[in-house]
Amino acid sequence: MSAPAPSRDRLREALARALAEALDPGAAGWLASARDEVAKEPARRLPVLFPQLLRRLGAAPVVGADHPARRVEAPGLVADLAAWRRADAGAAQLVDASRAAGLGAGELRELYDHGDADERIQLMRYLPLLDDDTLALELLGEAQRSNHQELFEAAWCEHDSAARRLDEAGFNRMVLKLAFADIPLQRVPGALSRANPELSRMLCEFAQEREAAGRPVWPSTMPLLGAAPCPGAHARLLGGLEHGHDPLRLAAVQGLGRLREPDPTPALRARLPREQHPAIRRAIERALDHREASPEA
Amino acid sequence: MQPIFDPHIHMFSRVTDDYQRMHEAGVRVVLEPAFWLGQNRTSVGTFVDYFDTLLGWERHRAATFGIHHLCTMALNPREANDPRVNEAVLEVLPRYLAKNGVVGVGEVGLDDQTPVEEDFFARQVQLAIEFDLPVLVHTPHRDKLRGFTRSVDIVRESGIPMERVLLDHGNEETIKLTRELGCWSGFSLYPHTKMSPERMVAILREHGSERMIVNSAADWGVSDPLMVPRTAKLMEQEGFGADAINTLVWENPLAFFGQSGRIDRATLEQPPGIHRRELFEGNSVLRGQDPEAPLA
Repeated sequence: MSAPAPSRDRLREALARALAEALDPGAAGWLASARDEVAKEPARRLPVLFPQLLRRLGAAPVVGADHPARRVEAPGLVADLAAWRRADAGAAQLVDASRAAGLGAGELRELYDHGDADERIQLMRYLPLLDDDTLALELLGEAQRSNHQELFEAAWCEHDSAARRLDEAGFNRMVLKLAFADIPLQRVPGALSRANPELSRMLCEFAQEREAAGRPVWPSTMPLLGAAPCPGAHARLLGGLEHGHDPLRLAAVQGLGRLREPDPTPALRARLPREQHPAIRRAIERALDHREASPEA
Repeated sequence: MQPIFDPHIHMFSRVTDDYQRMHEAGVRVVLEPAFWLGQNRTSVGTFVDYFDTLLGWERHRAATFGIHHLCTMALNPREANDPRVNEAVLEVLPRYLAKNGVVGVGEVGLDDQTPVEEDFFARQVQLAIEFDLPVLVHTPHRDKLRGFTRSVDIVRESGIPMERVLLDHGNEETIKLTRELGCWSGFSLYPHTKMSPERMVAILREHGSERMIVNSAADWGVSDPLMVPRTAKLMEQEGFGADAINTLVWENPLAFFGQSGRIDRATLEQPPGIHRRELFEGNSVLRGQDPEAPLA
């Protein structure tokens, strides 16, 4: 399901405001006349103007890391504007204007199929604004089957649109691919809330493969195990307090913080005095405070 | 280290070991012209998928090795003879010529030097004029001098300014013909056949490096994707100055294909993909890089 229309409009407006601040008059002028052109003849002009976005507007982020309005939060929608390039933000405006003027789903799909790597990324970045669930799921399928990391990052990360839209099997396949690509789950807002035991099972198996190959386990495995344990999850989480590289141990503490049973409090308390890594100490303390505050959790 | 732009190389046929070695030898930009694939294609769909690969997967593959990938698009001279594909490819070509990252029309030109080849050559030069792109011309390996002369005639008849034309796969004989025409002269350097780095150095001594382009034209055949770095090294050993080398292996290809208006030097001087991990004022803008950042 796409996010509610008012939430999508909030994201639109935030992107438009940020882009207006970022563009020089020449680029802004080009974008304004491009919008007019596609509003008049969407099917004919959008394919011609779309490829020009990157060189007209540029690839710099539409907002910087310190921008006060960087995070957009609305009912059913979370997005980090800093992941949108100026070209992506401009693409959203052109696609919106074209759709308002009657551009169909088939034509939008064709724009994707005829797009080069950057144009496809621009369209993946449009997905949080797209209300057509059928087309959105088709394009998410393209992302799932792509080897191009920037493409599936654009489809899945720094917003919660994909995590919300996919059914459980699709969501699990997405997370497994993130694990393979070593992309931290923090980059997918809302993903943790969809943790499920089948996903945990898949990640435990993958963790075993990594260990057998002498390679590091994906750290985000741990919070997911804590949120939705499968057989072996508890042992893997407890083990994560004592061994593995530091990011993995930190993630294990985050996972233990979410584990309902067996109660990890004794294990966390036992680890704390021996924990030398400051961030992991803080995480253990937070996890213990959280449990004391709501002991039934 | 001298950055190198190899403006004619068929990376579609090369493995990642090549990309790795190229990067180590200083290659930072490649240009892959659309060409034939070793075996004739039988339907336009395979051209579309090949063109899309040049704009998608191959660009990504290069970027993972720190190399920018540009391309040119065209119906090549050999398959121009094939009525199963020739008109159909010309029909889809315009949408590719509009793409960012497509910085020329090529490889067009002559192969067996048939009338059909000449027709498709001339038509694609007209497309180049329409899309304001420079032209990369493949000159024949057989009956080369006649092929060069005929190519020059076709280009002249088209009305395209000569400085927007690169006549590739030249040698000591063809340079005498092309030197005074105002067009650019390309030399493809191979390990055992055709033009070699030593012969190239001799040509440079005699004719200078103005409007000269060197490339490896590496493809499925016996070829070496390190020929341009090797030539740069040989020039250094032979006493050419750093400026002269930089002109030949960096500035010249940038200048020729920059005529497309689609090349941003600043982008090419940085590693590719950097904008996707853009560091803004020293901090990663992607929040997920902080391991302590809470999960939603």
